Order: sequence, then C-alpha cells, then structure tokens
Amino acid sequence: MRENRYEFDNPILDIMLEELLGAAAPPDMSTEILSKLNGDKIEMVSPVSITPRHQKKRNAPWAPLSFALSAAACILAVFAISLNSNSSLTPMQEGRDLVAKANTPGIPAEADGVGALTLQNRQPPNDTFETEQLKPMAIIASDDPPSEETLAPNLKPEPNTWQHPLAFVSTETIKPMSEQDILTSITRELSKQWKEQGVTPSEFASDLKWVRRVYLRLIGRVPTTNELTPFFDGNSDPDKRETLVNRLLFSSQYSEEYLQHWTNLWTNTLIGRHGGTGKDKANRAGLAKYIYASLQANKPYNQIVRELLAATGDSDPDSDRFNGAVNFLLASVNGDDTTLATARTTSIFLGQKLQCAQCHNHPSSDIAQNQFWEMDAYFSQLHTSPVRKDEQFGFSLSNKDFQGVETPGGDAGNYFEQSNGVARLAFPTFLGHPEPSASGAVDNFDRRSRLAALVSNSPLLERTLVNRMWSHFFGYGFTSDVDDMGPHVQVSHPQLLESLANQTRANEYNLKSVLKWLALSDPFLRSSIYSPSNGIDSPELGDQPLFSRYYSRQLEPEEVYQSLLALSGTLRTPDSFGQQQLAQRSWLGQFTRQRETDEAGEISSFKGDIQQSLILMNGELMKKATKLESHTVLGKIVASANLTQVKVQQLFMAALARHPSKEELTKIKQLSLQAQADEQQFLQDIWWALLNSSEFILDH
Amino acid sequence: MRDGTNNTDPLSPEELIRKYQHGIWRYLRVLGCEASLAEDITQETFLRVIRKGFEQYNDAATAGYLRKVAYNLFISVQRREGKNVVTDEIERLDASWDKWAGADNGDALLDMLRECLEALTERARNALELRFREEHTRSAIADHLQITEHGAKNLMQRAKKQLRDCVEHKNQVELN
Repeated sequence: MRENRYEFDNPILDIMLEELLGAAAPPDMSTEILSKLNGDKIEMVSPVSITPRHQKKRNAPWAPLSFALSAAACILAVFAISLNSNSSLTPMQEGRDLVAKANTPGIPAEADGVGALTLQNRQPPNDTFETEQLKPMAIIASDDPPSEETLAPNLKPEPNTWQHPLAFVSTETIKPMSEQDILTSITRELSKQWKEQGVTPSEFASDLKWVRRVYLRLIGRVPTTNELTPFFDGNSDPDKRETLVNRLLFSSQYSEEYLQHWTNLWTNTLIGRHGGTGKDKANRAGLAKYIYASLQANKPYNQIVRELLAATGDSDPDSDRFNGAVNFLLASVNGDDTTLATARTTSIFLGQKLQCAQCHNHPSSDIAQNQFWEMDAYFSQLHTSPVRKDEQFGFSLSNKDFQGVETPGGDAGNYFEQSNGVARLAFPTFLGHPEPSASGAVDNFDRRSRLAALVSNSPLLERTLVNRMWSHFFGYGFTSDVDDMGPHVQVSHPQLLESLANQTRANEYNLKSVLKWLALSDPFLRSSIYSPSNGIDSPELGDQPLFSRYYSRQLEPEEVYQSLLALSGTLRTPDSFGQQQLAQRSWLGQFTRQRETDEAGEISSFKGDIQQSLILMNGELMKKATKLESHTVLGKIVASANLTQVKVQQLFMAALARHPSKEELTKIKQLSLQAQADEQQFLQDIWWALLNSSEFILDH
Repeated sequence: MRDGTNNTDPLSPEELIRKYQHGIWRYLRVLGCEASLAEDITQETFLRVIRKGFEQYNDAATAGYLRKVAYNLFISVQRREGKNVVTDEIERLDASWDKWAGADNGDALLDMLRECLEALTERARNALELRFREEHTRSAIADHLQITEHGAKNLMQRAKKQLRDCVEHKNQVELN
C-alpha cells in the first residue's frame, strides 16, 4: 500500500472527515447547472468570472452597469405606480407617498393579483416555502404577473420550523416548596457539580462579610457600624441571618432604601441608565414612579411585565392620564420603528436575544430572521403622540388600527427585508408559534395585550428572572449573558435553574421571595477566597461558574454612590425621591454614556481606572463622606470617648466590615508616630484612605 | 476502489451531472477550495464540457476528463487571484485522489472511513468530532478533554493514523 508516494494522506482524509463528522456534504448542483444549460436568460459564466461567491459582487466588472440598470428599474417602477395608482390602490391609500408605497405596507393584496401569495403567507411558518412573499417591487411593477426575471428561482428560502420549546407554560401544576427545601435544593444541585468536578467549596465567610454583602445586594449600600453590631462575635442565634434578611426586605425601617435601590435597578434594566433623559420619548421619573409603586405594593413580577407591555396613557407624572408603565415602551420606540421595543422585550423578559436575527438568521442558533420581525409585529398597533400641558411636554401611548398589508382573510402583515434582498411578510408569531388570526384592528385583536399575556405566562419569564437575580447576587448567571438564554446557549446548572424558576411561578412571582432564597443560599455564604481545591472555579477566565466560592467584584457605581451617601450621613435627607434620583444620575453621568446602537447599550468607565480613582478621590461626594461633622460616620466615631485604637477599628469596620489586621495596626501606629497632625486629622486621613482603597469598592 | 466499468451508452447531461458532481466537488475541496468556490468551479466544469461535447469512453475516462477540466479551472482562478500555485503539490494530490477515489467519486472511501471511525476509542472519536463537527481549535479541544494542547495534537494525529491504516487495510483486502 505504501509502495508509491500517492498515499491516502491528510487532505483527502480531512475532507472526508469534514463530510462524515461535520456538515460539509457536497451540494446538489444539478438543477442550477441544468437551468443554466437550458438558457434561462442567466448569463453563461465565462472562465474569467469564476471567483469565490463572496467576492462576486465586489469584483463583477459589470457592477456599475448593473447598478445603473437597477436604479433605472426602480425609477420605472415608481413611475409605473403613479400610472397604476388609481386602479390598484384603495381610496384610503390614495395620496400617499409613492416611494413609501414601493417599500412599505399599504398596498392591498387583491390589487395586483398577488392575493394568493399573500394568503399563503398566513400559513404557519412550518409550512412549505410557498410562504415566501416577494417584495412590493414585484407587486408594483404592473397589474401583469411578475416576470421570470423578477421571480428568480433561488429566491425561496428554506422553510423555518423553529419553535421555542419553552414558549408556553406546561399544564403541570407545580407545588410550592418550603423555603428550607428550596435552600436545600440549591445546595444539593451545586454539590452535584462540585463532586463531578472534584471541587471542594470555599469555607463559609465570616458573619460580617456576609452582612456587608447582603446589605449591598438587597438595599444597595454598605452597612454602618451600628448595623454590623448584632453580628459581632458572640451572637450565636441560628436565625440571625434570616432575621436580618427579613428586616431588610420587609421592615418599614429599610422599606424606603429597598424601594429606591430596586427601582433604580429595574429602571436601569428596562431602559438603561440614559433612557428617558431627553433622547427618547420616555419620562424616566414616570417609569421610576410606576416601578416604585409596584414594588411597594409587592406586585407579582408577571403582573408588572404585563402592565409594562400593554400600557396605555401619558408619560408625564403631572398628566391626568398618567401611567408610568408607558415609559418602558416610549423609551424603546422611534417613530414607527419598534425594533428596540422588540429587542428589549424578548431579551429582558424572555432571555431570547432575537435582535441578533434582525438583519439575518441567527448566527449560532435555529432562530431565523422572521422570528424577530414576527415578534416585532405585536407592536405594530403601538401609537405615540405628543401631549402638551402648559409648558410641559410628554407623550401618550395608545393603540391604533394597523393597516399593513391586508390579506383577504383580514390579517395585516408588515414587510421586512431578508438578507437576499427579498421582502417577506411578518404576522404576529410568538417564538415560532403563530396566532390563529392577525387582524390589524385593535377591536378584533389587541396585539400588545396579547403579547403581554403571552410573555407574562411564558415559562421563559421566570427562567430569565431567576437568572437575572442569580447574576445580581453572584456576579455570574447560569448563562454567560443573562439576556441571552436561547436554545444555543449552554446553561451551567439547568436543573437548578429549572427548579428555582418553577418555585418562582409556584410562589406567584413574588420578587421578595426570590431575593430571600438567594440571600440565604449556600453559595452566598461562602468565602470569596479560593484554594487549590477549587482553583478551577474561575469564571473570570471564561469557564462556567461552579459557585463554589463567592466571586469578588467591583461595586456598581450606584452602590458606591449610595454607600458614600450613607457614610456621609445624608442618606435620609428630606429631598424627594425624584431629587435624589437626579443627584445620583448627575454623579453617574461622569462614568457612563450611551452607545448609539440599536440596542441602546452603554459604556461605563467605572472599572477601576485612573479616571474613576481621580473622580472618587477628589469628588464632592468623597468630601462629604470624609467631613468631620456631627452627622457623618467619621464625625460620630471621632467624637466618641473611645481610645484611638478602638476608633481605628471602628473606621475599618464602617468602611470594610472587618477588623484591621495586625500588620495594618502596626503600620498605622508607625504612621501615627510620624504624623505631625492631631488625632482628628490623623483619623480623617485613615478614613479617606480606607474609602479610596480597592477593598472599599469591592464586594467580596 | 475502481469499478473499471465500460459504459458504451453516453450519459445525458443530467445523468452526467448527477453521477460525477459530488466527486468533482470533493476533488476540488481536496485541492484546497473553499466549499463555495468548489461549487462554482464544479458548475463551470460541467457547463464547459457539456457545451463543448466530448467522447464518453468509460467511467474512469469521463471522471478523469472532468477532473482535468476542474483542475485547470482551479489553477486559473488561483493565478488570477495572484496566488502562487505549487504545481508539484497539486499534482501529487491529484494523483492521490485518482488512486483512492478516482472512479467512484469517493463514495467507497467514505464508507470505509465510516466503518473505521467506529473502531476508534471514544476519546479519539470525540476529539475528531470536536475538530471536524464543532470546529474547535486545538486548545479548545484540549480544554474539553482536560488534556494539554500537545496531548490533544497527539491524540488526533494518532487517531488519523489509525484511520489511514484502517482504510488502507480495507482497501487491500478488497483488492485481494
């Protein structure tokens, strides 16, 4: 076999393996070759024209000519519309812009003999490829049937049969478990993976560290020294942790802080840090007011989502028709463009990043481009209008009948352009599950209300909520991106996610219950210090998290702000919530800015760089927190009758929730001997150093 | 590997395309074409030979002729794109393909390889699947299998050698 040099060598083997193991089988080219041979007016390919497909457009020598011909065809087509407009358009559509007619819905299907095609388009997406609809350019050319040149044979896409398996709720009843059972199940599920991976979890963290964490996660700031006191050594009450969590979540003492913190978090999640601040139609304060009131009433999460999606009313809190919930969608629409609303709705509430399929089929899953536009169709009745009251402007959100491209059956669709340039109709379809009818009339089919009902009842809702909350507590969710839990994404702990999601539904979407489970869960009690026994648990390096230790991370800017405010003794000022929000936003504006992208993402410079350090060190907020005044934490500690050493310990406790180490105490003693300042000045310097340390802005 | 059948009845263009298209496409892939370029050149090959017409002596001759046209088109494309064509290497690949898969489009070779894959250890097959199905890099394969990158390289090299030996053995048995 090896007598000659023509061995069965790597290139052949590799190609064969690609075919056997991968998806690199040879295509069937017979139809295409035969159609070319049969002379169907497609130019024969000359030897010179053989270039890789992706280069054909760029390299084609006749491209300029082709462009000129296309442009001429467009002009002729528009001209043709003007000639045919009287016969092909309904009176309602007369007088509209001709170019708009060529590119947008508004042309009745019966008008030019494409009614049959449009009808086929209403078939469920798992039907054959006849669901394809050509762009109006083919429709508008004339009343004659489309020519062969227009109906090129390769314009029909593969049928898309993808349906999200979790789009609808199972009929199986889920029994609620006790809190203790839920906590046990969390430990059990995580332990399974620890065992499989040969990992020993970190030791439990000290009480003081846990208290600092739980204050940060639940009310968004570090605890004061007084708040740490019950957890000093000697408190052996087995229920002390649960008592504290209950106090933070349910007592009137912390109610205001809880509401403000979670209002901020949800507002940021829904419309970003810059939404509703002038660049869009939303009123940020209006949305915050709605969320605040909803959290205060402890509304179930699915009810909040339903209200946000189906809301109608005015954005401004001073309006008689005020409904703060409208501001979520008002921040996410731009004229008739509702793509941001679709992207936010699917990613925030359902964990499906459909926006990746807005311009082309999803690169790494079965989600096709039409899935995005079919979800977007639920917003096609959305209508915004300006509202003026005195000098105040605001916007109103309502529903309005959608004309679209109407089928003889009374459904209304909208066109979107596929990547091959062909337009296709989209009707409301929830993650691949089509609606039985899709009338554009609000009285017949209120699309947003329907979407609100579907989203608020979908099992994806609780999965996404649990993942988001888990990520809030642990720094990492069960997926690498909490907004992307599509079928293509690997979930690190699927059973645990499933179990917590089920319990969230069984507990009627009570947000405080979810927070309580996570705050008391095993991984939240673990130390952030890892050892060789769990060194491989390093999601920072891109591995899947095992949650065998608490992952240290920098505080969010809002948390630093609130913490400094608490330490400066000005947390509970008589300012209204709105004024406090304004002050906080002004401070945050130094670190974040909005991206000009479809997803309205944000760039944060709050990541431990020199700019952040300089702003923190020299900013007004730091000056307030380090003032020697009676209401500041520093002022109270300095004014006490304790020994200097005790005061130093109290400063450490207030800033870092721990005692100073021996080395730190020794160093401080040395510094105190060298310092030419009095005790007050010296303690103030230590306090300033502690607040500007990396540890202060670290949740660990 | 060769069937050596003499086919005295000339095939129609449709039969010709259906019979040889996959072989030509695979052959072009072995020469180094991306899938889309291989598709383009395959189409062009058939367009040329059918329009020009040619004598069909037997399967091997037809397959050889089609490959020659495809080969020439491939060289033309490479040169037009300013790429240096190492003719020796391509001729060696051409001869290898002719020897191993020339007459039957590589279908028999594919069947043998499928059987040989079954004989690999699960770990070795897993490594090849990660490489050819998932298109993982060598370091990703190493991570997945919890071995070093060097270990992953050795594992795949050994697996491929085993496959080569297995195919050659099966081929020898068939010839005998």
